Amino acid sequence: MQLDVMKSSNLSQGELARIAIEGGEGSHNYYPLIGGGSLLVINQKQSNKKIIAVAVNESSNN
Amino acid sequence: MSLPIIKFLKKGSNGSAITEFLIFTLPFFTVLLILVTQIHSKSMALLESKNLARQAVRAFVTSPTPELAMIRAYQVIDLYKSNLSQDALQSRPINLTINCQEFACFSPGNKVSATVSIGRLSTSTASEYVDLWR
Repeated sequence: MQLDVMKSSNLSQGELARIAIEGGEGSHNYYPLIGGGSLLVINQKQSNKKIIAVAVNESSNN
Repeated sequence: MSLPIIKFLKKGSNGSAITEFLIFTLPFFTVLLILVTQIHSKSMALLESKNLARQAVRAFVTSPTPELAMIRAYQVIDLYKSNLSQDALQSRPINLTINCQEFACFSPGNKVSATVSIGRLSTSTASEYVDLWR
């Protein structure tokens, strides 16, 4: 169970970083940053543990 | 000579296997479970702080103006905190410190480091350079 949570955290973070660089669709929220760009956030729950992944997207177009 | 010893060894024991199992293995498994949980907490906190430090310093160096750089880095931390539960926020306070190699901080080629500490569990530092063409 604990290994599953760690695996999901790493996979979510990897997926989010890829979206931040290449763009694309995903199950993330989008928060605009002051001065441009945005912060992509994945907030999900697995095995009663919250998994949060964040990535800074330099371009608002992605 | 060795006959009494053999007799002693052949003699049946009245002990219960379940009782012996519980007495000898339960403490071991309890300690093992605590250890695994602690390792899990520590590695998750390390993963969290490393990523937060990376994203905060990235928000800093991609700022369009020097005035907004620090605000952007702290905004990343604030947005992350807003996704945490109240319990998590109280038990694991998150702090960010930005250090620069030279003054002024947001000057081309300057090395910027962000240090994120999450409670007492973990502290991580990430560094990036401000773009040379800024």
